[in-house]
Amino acid sequence: MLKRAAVVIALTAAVLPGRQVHAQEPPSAGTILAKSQQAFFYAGSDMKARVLMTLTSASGQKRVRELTMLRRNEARGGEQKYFMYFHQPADVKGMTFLVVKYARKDDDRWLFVPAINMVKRLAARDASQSFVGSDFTYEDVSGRDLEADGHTLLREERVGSRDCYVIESIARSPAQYKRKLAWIDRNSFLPIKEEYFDAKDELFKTFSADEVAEVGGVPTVTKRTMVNQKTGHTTTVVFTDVAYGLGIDADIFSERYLREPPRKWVQ
Amino acid sequence: MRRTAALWGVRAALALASATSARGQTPLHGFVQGSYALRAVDADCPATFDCAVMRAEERLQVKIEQASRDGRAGALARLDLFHDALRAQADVEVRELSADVNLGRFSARLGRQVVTWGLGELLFVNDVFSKDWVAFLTGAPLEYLKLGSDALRLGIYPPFANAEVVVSPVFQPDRVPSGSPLFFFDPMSALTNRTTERPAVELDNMPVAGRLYRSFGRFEAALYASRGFYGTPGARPDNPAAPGQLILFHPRLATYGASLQGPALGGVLSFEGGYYESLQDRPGTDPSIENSQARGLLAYQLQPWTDGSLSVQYYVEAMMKHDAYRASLPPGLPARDRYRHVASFRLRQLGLHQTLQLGLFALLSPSDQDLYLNPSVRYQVTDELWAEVGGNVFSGKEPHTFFGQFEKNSHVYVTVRYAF
Repeated sequence: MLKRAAVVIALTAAVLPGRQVHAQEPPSAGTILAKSQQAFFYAGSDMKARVLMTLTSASGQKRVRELTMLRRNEARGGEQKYFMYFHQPADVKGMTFLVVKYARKDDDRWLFVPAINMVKRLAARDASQSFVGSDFTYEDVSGRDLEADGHTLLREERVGSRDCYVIESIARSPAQYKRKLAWIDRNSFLPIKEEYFDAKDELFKTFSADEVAEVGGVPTVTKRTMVNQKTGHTTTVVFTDVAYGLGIDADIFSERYLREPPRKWVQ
Repeated sequence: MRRTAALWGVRAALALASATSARGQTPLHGFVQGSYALRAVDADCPATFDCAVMRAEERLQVKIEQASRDGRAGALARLDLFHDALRAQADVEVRELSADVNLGRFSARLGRQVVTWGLGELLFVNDVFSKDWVAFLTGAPLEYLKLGSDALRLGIYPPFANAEVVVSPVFQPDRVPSGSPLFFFDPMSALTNRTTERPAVELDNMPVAGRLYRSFGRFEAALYASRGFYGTPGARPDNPAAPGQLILFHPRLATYGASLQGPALGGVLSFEGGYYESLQDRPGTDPSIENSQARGLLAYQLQPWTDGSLSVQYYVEAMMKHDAYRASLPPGLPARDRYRHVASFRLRQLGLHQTLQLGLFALLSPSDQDLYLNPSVRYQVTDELWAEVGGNVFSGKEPHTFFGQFEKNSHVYVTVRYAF
């Protein structure tokens, strides 16, 4: 119903160029971003995906990271658990990684190194840390607290065939960026495009959702790209075998399964 | 004989791998590696000693994993074929070879497997499983410090805690330096006639280790216990009055311990403690057997800046019967202090999209006045190939302390690995 209303609004807006026509006041920037986080990072009660990351340097050298990701939302506000099993590169095959994300606290992270059968807990203060050497930070992968930035709805704008809210977020607590612009799809609330500006207010990183598909009725970004505009380094991430609401047991997100990867899920 | 069997194992594993690769995914992985180490100090070596080169080795590791369709059963083989140029020998090493089942609240693995417990970095409190100190002292990649244990490991996971028990049918000692190319402190070096006594293979001698663990909120707690033998041998002359032979033997050992780890002060704080009960010398009057010991470790790890990690540890081991040890120590032998203190420090910095890793690890003992340093640089040239150059530096005021005895083994190493 909501969706149809949004489509009608979008069509109306398209028919009447130059005029912003709304059935009602646009939602606040905070409301839009809360919905966007829900759609982008929290969809479903749980999720499984095969993730293929391709890191390409400015000179064209490619590196690949392939992993199975299991994600589960916990009942407590905003808490999420991520279990990752690495398939590629060969040197880290069989490595597992567990992240527990809290709403307003540092993550808990554990890494399992199969060659020595060791689980190591990692200190994780810096959410701006690159995830496995890619152009995505941990925050880009699992989300950033909305309260960590101040948000303003700037305008509404079309990106390709999508009507988007354009929201500016200014970092209030330490971040990789000083300012960020996000184009949020009015229908799916997925981020379609993002631009990151550094301390000198220069554009240094851009995100794009290249492919969006419905998975079990859930709009899902199945291909995304992050480009470092200063170095030319690019990371493309493709999600395959995506599924939601599988009933992934909470036990999976534990030291036991770091050491004994749940083959049912990661094979 | 052993080698024929191992080669047969490799052949069977390869056949298994090629049979199942038809499914589209090759389950055959592993690496090809060259590792070399050059002594970095003037050791004034005797003629019988391999002096300049401490490691010259090429290695092929084949790793095969198979699992049933439902994931409840699986098998793993990690076999190394290596050529040691220093000894002009080639051989097969079974790193891991095991089958496992995984059923809800229960799991089991039988066969050769690596078991690692505890929270210390190169300081072991409750990890009593076999170690290869020769690999460590000659610049092998750190994973080779751990030896596989031939064991049955049972895991039981009721809702309130997790329990693991590891039973080994045969005691496997640590690999410790015994001669070229390694120098070490040997108080009875004149006694060259030596024999090693291994615990008899019988039910009563099977090493057993257990761990009980669970989390409390964001903290993880564990209890440990083990019963077995000291991995590093003790040494006693056959006849103290007129020694003709030195007998190396593994005294009985029981350990009890606990650990706790959790977030604190913006990082991760860890505590581990343990008691080593020297079962064959409880009064501490036999100088050829280790004193009972209490060991404690406090560690803190944080991420001070992006792509950097810093960890510090403080470790103390206390001899429980130091007075008896001092009284029974034969004249002329250097005495150990009641307390051994070790501080450690690790700094690691990643760069170039985490393909470059700079590391510095240091262990310093203020009581022994000795140290170990490991600076290293590793570069991931492609996804398949990495190269590491580093040094293992030992130094000490006296030639008999833990790190000091290895001073002449200080070396630089290079490892190149192609993984597939």
